[in-house]
This record gives sequence, C-alpha cells and structure tokens, in this order.
Amino acid sequence: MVAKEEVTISEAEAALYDRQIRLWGLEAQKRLRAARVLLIGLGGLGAEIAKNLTLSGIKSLTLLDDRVAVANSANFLVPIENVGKNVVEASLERVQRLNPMVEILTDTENITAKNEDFFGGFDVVCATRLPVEESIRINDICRKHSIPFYSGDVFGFGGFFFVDLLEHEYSEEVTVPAATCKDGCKPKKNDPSETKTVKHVLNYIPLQAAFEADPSSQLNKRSWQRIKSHFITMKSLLMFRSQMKRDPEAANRQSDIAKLCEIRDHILHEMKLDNQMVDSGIFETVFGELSPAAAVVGGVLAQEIIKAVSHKDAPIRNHFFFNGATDFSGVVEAIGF
Amino acid sequence: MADVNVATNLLEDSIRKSKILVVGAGGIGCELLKNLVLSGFNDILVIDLDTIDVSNLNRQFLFQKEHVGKSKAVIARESALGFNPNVTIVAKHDSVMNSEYNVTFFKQFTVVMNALDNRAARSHVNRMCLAANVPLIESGTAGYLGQVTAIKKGFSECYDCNPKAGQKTFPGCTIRNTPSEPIHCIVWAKHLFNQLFGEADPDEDVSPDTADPEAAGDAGSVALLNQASEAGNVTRVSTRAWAQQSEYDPSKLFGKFFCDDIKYLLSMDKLWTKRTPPIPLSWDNLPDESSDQQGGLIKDQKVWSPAECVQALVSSIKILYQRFKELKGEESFLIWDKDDEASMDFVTACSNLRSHVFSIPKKSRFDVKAMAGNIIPAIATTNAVIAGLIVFEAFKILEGKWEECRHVYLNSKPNALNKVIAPSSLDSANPKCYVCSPHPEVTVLLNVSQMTVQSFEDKVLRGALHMISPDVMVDDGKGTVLISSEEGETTENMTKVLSDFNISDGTRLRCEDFHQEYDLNITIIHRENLEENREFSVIADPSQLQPKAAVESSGPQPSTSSSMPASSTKATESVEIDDDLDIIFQKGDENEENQKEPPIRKRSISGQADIGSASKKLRLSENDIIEL
Repeated sequence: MVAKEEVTISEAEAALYDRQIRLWGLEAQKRLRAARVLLIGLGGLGAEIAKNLTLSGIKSLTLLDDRVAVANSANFLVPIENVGKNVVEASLERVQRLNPMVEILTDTENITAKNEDFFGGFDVVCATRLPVEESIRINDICRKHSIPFYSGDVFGFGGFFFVDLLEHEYSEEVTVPAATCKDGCKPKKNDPSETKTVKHVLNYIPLQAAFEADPSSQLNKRSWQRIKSHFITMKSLLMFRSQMKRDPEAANRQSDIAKLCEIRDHILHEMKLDNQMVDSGIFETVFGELSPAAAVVGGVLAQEIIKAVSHKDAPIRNHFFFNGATDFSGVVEAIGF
Repeated sequence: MADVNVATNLLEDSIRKSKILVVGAGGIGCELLKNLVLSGFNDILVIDLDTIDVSNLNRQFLFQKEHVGKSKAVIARESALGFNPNVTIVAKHDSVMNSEYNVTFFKQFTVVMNALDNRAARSHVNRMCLAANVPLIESGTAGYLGQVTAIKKGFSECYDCNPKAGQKTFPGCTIRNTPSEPIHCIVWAKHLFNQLFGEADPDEDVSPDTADPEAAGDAGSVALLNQASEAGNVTRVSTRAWAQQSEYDPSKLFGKFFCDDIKYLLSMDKLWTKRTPPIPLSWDNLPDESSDQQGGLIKDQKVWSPAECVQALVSSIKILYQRFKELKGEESFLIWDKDDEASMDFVTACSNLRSHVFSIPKKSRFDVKAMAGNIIPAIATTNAVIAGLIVFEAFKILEGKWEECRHVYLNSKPNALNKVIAPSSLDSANPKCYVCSPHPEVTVLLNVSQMTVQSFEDKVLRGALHMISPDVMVDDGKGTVLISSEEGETTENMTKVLSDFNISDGTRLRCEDFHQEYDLNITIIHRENLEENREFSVIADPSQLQPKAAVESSGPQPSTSSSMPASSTKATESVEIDDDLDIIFQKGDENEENQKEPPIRKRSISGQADIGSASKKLRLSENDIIEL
C-alpha cells in the first residue's frame, strides 16, 4: 500500500489542486501524492483513466501497452503524426503535459512477460484491453501483495469494470444531529448538527470467483433483472476476446454478432437460463470504442481509484456497468458474494 | 484522431452534418470538446468570456500552465484541434449574452450544449434556444455530483420551468449589529471593502444600525449617539469620505471598526441581554495566540491570530489604497476578487477581527475564500462523466429519438436502485412557466413606495428574471413607458419609486425583451414589508399566493424539488450572487450535506412507480416560488 513516509503539499501544488482539496481534503491529497499506479492498456478507456489520474496528482503513473497507436482511436493522447509508433510512447508527451508534477513512466513490453516482482512496486493496478485469463493472473498476484486491482473495458456504446480491494478500510464523514448527542449536551443554536468520521471495512473477492459466479441465483430477482443483460453482455464480450484473440470488429459486423450470440447462448445454457432472453440487438452497438462511453466509464473508474487510494468514502463493490445505447444508467452490483 | 465507429450510418451522417454550439470552455466544456471531436462532430463553435486561471488546471485538461491568463475559448480550440486537425472549430472569446448572438445566430445550430457556471447565462441561453426553436442540452457539476438534461420547446421542461432556490440573505441588523456566525463577519468584511474601495451600495452599510427593532427604545444608545457625534466618531458621513480624510490610516480604520463602533454597539444594551456582548479590540494590545497545533497544513489553512490579522490588514490597505488612488478614467472603484491577494487578505483579516470581537470561531484564509468567493469544488472525473453523457443525449436528439432523452444524474453513491448514473424521464413543460408557456405571467411582491425604477430594473428584471434589455410599459390604458431599452429615453424615471407612476397593488406591467424575444406580464402586489428584509419576492404562479402560507414557504429551506439547476436540499449561506456559482447544488460545505443520502430525485425510468412520486407532489406544491 501507499508508502508511509510523510508527504508534504507545496504551495504550488496547493494552488493547482485547490478545487479538489476543497472537496476531498488535504489528507486525501497527500495520500494521492504517494500513490504509484500501473495502467495496463492504452486505448480510449486507458487514455481517460490516464488523464483523470494524472490531473488528480498521484505520485507516478506507469503506462504499459505493447501495441501500436492506430488511427481513428478514442485515445486522444496520440498526436496524428505518432500513429504507427508504440501507443504508450506515442502518448507520453501529452500525458506528461497534463501535469508536470506527476512522474509518467512507460513500459512497452507485453504484460504476460511480467512476473510477480514487477507488480510489487505499485500501489494500484488497473488493467484494460486484457483477456480475462490474464486479468485473473494479475489479480491473483496483486492479492498476494495486497494491491488493489481494477479491470475494465469499453466496447462501443458501453462498458464495465471490476474491482478487488481485498480488505478495504475507509472513513466516511457522517452528520450527527447534535440533538441526539450521547452525553446529553445541548445543541447550540447555530450548530444543529456536527460531522464525525466513521470507519468501515469492506471485503472483496477475486476476479476469478466473480467471473465464475452465477448472479442469477445469488442476487434477488430485482437486482438480477437489472443487471442481467449487462452481465451476460460483459461475459460474452470477454469470452469472445479470449476465443477470437481480438475484439469484435465493425468490418466483420454480421459474423461477429453471430459469434457473440453463440457465446451468449452458451453462457445462458451453462447458467441454466435457456428460457431467459438477452436481446441480440445489444451486440449491434459493441463495435469500436466510443469516446463518450470511454469518458463515462473512465471517469467513474478513475474516481474509484482516487477513493480507494485516499481511503475516503465508500467504494463500489464490485462491478460497474454502463450502457449508452440502451438505458443510459450506470449500475453497481456486488457479484459473487 | 476521430472515432468513427459509431453504430449506424444514419447517426454518423447526422453527426457529420450537424453544427454544434458549445457555451463555455471550462470544466465541462473542455471534456465536451474532446468527446465531440473524437465522435466525428466536425463543425463546432465554442464561446467563453473567461481566461485561464491556475486553479482550473486540475480539470480543464486542454489548458496548461503556460496558458494562464489566456482566453479559454481560443486555447480550448487549439488543443482540441490536436485531436483532429480536420474539423472546424470557431472560438469566440466573448459573452454569450452579447447582443450580436441573437436569435438568428442561435438558429444556425443543430444542437446547443451549455457548459456554464452561472444561472444568468443559463437562463439567457434557454430563452434564446426557445425563441430559435433549437434543442438545448443543459448540464452542471458540483464536486462529485452532476446532471444533464435535454430541453426542447413544447416537449420538455425548460430551464426556468422550475424556479431555483435563491441564495440566502441575511438581515441587515445581523450583519451590522449582531453577527453570530463566521459567514456574517465575512459578508460584513466584503461590504466594508466596497464601502472603502468598491462600488458604493447603501444596502451595504457596515456601521451600527441604530434602527435595529431589537434595540428600540434604548435610551442609553441615544445618549451615547449624541456624545459620540460630538466626539466625531460615528457621525454619519460616508465611510469612504471619512477614510479619505485620514488617507486610509490603518490604525484609524481599525479604531473605528473594531473599537469605537463596537463600543457603540455595546451601548445598545438590549441587544446583549441574551447574547455574548462583543469585546472591543485595542490597536496597542492585540492578542497573538497563534497556535502551534497547525502543523502539516498548507499556508492558507492556518488560522491567523488577531495580531496576524492586523499585519495583513495594514499591508492590504496600503496596496488597495494605492490602487484606488491610481484609478483613472471611467474606473472609479475597485472590484473585489477572490483571486486577488490584497482583496482576499483584507477580507480574511477584517472578518476574523470581527469574529474575534464577537467571540465567533475564526476561519482560515482558505475557508474564508470559499465562503466569500462562493467556490464550488470541482474535479476532472465528474466533468468527464457529465460531458460523456451530454454526447449520448446529443446522439438521441440527432436521431430524432426525443422520447429516449433523459434527465441524468451522477450521484456520489449508488441510489436505492444501485445506480450511480441515474436517468429519469424528461418532465413535460410547466404550463405556468414564466418563460416557456404561451403567455408568460409572473407576480412580484414589493413595496411600491420604496422600490425605485432603477432597483426594479437591476434587481428584479435583470437580476431575478434574467432579462438583458427590458422595455416596460404600465398597463394603465395610457401606455406609460416605465423603462425603455433605448439609451437615455427613461433615464429621468430611474430614481423615482414605482408609486410615482401610479403603480399600486394589482397593477400590471408589460415587459418585453427584444433581444431574448421574450414577453412577460408582471402583476405587482404591494407589501409594506417582506420577511427577512427582502426587497421583493417573485412568484411564478399567482394561485400560490395564499396570503401567508405561500409567502412563508418562500424562505430558504430544505426543498425536495428536483428542478434542473438549483435542486438544493439546503439553501446556501452565501449572500452575493456570484458567477462562480455552479448550478445544481450549492457551495462546498453544503455538498457534503447533499451526499449523505443517495438522492432519488425523480422517478427512475426502470424503477418502480412508488419511488419519487412523493417528492414529485411536494415539488408541485413548492416549486412555483422563486427564492431571492
């Protein structure tokens, strides 16, 4: 976890971070200032997360991706002349310009080449664009080192992310009406309530357990109905990626939709939900990576990382789903508990 | 690098052919420009009158340190072109309220997107879009919270359909005689700044208020007033003239405001029977109890001792007086600015000295700045999410799917339906809306023998009703022109009071705003006094005017209203209407309040019907009163 050395905030930082220190406080800002984050995968979602975390003032951000920058991507960090170069190297300059006070590091190796020791140097690991098997491997390593782990993706109009914070302690300010003061003190006229800080602990489960869970039997009927199509879609897309070694492509629209339907039916069958429908129309909008979808998912995900690092306020447990083509809501669900 | 992987060819086509107006290049605007360019929009006009400040850089990611002081619109355009050099972005460093941006100008756009930070501009753009019949996407953020909605004339609620909770005001005697909270002293200190250096406003007197009803019949004070007058201490010459006599000698200013005036207040002994009496300060013997327990804080978070306050007072007065003397030409006064060092030091010092005198807890410069400057905390992630949601609303509008448009809230925690991002259906337009209904009507309560025409124009028509260039005729059968937007035509009316024009209880006024293409009928209701010392009160639905109940409920109080812009659950403590004020939620401290319970403000689309119906009813009974 975050190094215990005393972090001080300079006057220049205080001026730069003024509007957020007013929101989450100096203590949270100091904790951010000590956090070293590994971000795997620099597509549209990765770019949003990189921007949000760099602006927030973490200690360091390591960008890892072995792919090349392509044209027509939602990664706004790549200048057009850098298309064809490695994507993290192509994005470095723009990320650094967002905040010169954050150390930006690049790594162009394939993630599968990274062993356990590599991950030990980070306080948070966030993975995008990975096959779920690789995410599970990294999550297991992170668990050994007590490192919070996130994995998320955006497909077309929607996206999702998973979070494993192991055992997470956080504090929350709650308003206590002074009238119910325990020691019987009288409330002051102009002080009808006071705030106090309460500590809570939340437990999480690893990605493998969550991915293999059957929320249709675990959740109540209403919750399952709410996330059914999100969950089946997420699982179908991640299994497509693993099986096809690529994401669905607009160029193969019809055959990819057919393949996704096949995977979906298999998943429903395995869950003994053959009688339940998940509309195949949902796969019409999973191609590419839409900038506004990356902005929404990347915004919520980065804020969750900020929350976890600062140990302030209740974090999401343990899935977030957003779909900008159907219901426009961002839903949270605890899956696998 | 544009992302052209949108779903259908039809949508792609309408994106390519659209022309978008982005109003504001701040927190939401920067994120929005990025999303638009990357989504294939290629004809965008962005307008913002503001320049870049260092405190913007934690979220307005199109700007860097070297851009501080430059035009937001211009730099945002340059940076956004870096995402795709082949799109057209026109930047205007200007106010959207300028007359050149008329209804014809608005008509050229397919969709208008507001990314604003103040009500006046939002209300104005709302009217321009209604008049031009152009769809408007409205949005706002405050801290972790945000919302987006779509407005279409005749289809959905407009920005003004739900009147906003007003800013809290304080009675003059609380500010001048009996402060009990830090905010009272901060308001007083800002008034003092204006009395000494700023635009003179008789409503901002800082001296003891001898007309305080609580002190009535106080013989002692009358006696002391006479004495004091003889001594020349509290003679009612203008504060500024008096200060100029001594060339703004800090010790003299200090002596008057923190010693003599306080002694005078003490003489009004009825005020102190149930209050802690103030303790006058002495220039020669200032407490310096600076505590050592303030380690680990940034400089501005430390609370100054009275001695430190005086140091800051002396140096800030010196700087401000120098600037005041150097004013030339049309500039005849200084304007208080939270980002100006000397102005901020002055208010921090004076408010804390006054707090000390009245045994009120002192505040750090950091906290005083938030309260005096109405600072709304702002972060990158919230703006990013909201800007993303704006584009999704735009997709639906471009596809003509208005029935799919939503009013979307970003919550800080999942709500009862587990939603962090919670959409609800758009409400239909309020048939009694004083802006978008076919025959807009509003009732204004005021004292016709006290309200001047000038105040009526500035505070009611421009301030509360957000008009730009009003023309007003009295509906008296003679067509008496009260206010003309033609320069000079009604200048002589301005200092007169409304009753001079035979305006009395029940008189109707016909108002017209040529620029906004907006007509409004106002019914005047005469009231000798309004509660909480308000000068006036605007009521959108006259049927709400139940003699007492309605007026009483107009006070700043918790409201379950979910109206777009100011769905506060608690009124703000700040006094001035400040352009830094973001829409929806009120300032800093209050935000924490808002987060406590995950709000379900409206019935969620996929939620069950029982949720929200109660609040909806409450809203109907409360929302027709604009709080001012």
